Amino acid sequence: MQWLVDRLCARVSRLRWMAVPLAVYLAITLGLPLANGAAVRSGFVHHAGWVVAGCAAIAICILIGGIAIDIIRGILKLRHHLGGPS
Amino acid sequence: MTAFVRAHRWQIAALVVAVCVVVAGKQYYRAASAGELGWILAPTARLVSAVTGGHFVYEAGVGWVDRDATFIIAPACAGVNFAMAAFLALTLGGLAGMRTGRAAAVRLAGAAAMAYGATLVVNTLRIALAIALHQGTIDLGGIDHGEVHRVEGILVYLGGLCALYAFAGMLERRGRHAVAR
Repeated sequence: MQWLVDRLCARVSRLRWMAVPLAVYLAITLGLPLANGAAVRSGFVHHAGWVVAGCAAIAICILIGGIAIDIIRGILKLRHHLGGPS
Repeated sequence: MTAFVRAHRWQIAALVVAVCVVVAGKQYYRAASAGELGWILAPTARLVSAVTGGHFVYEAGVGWVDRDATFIIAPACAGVNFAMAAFLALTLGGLAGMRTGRAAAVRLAGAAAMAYGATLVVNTLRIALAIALHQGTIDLGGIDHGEVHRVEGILVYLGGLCALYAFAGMLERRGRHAVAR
């Protein structure tokens, strides 16, 4: 369990690279329209909610994918050390 | 401050260029017609036709139309917002290597080319999925089609942007390792 927590923390810190594409995406899809007065238009808040939710969903998917890769690598390494098929 | 600006002048210049391109691009895209966006809509329509088996033809004033699929690739589907986001993200990611004017120009040109290519691929995927949803190939049940189209667009574009950025980062690291050897 501790191993999983350690991997989770390591994976979360390795998600730092996503800051640039996420920030750029939010700037283009929300920042520029806001600067052009989109906030007064109906439906913008609804759209913004979906955009933020989408960002969270992508980040969580990448995090889960990374953890899955770590688990698979851990299992393969364990099998190798136990003398399993290479 | 002056020393900082002088030491990073090419990176600052590249960033200013990228931001200007994005702002100008956004203004241009707002009013552009399907004909004016032919440089991106035409290859996109051809790729979508190849992937989906459809047959999109250009109709002036409308866009690229497939009457059998009852689907229009209109200016709003050009993916220019994604292209600008990709260009800006790739420029930001490559800033560290922009130490000379030549390096900055080469990296900016590379970012533009990669952004254009990635836009064609990601936008083709997005439109192909939209066609599948429209035709009922992917069953939505009773879910609002407009909302699904919105969410699909967000996930495909953002996922594509993250994948592109990660791929560019991998190329950068491999390039550095090759030079170090």
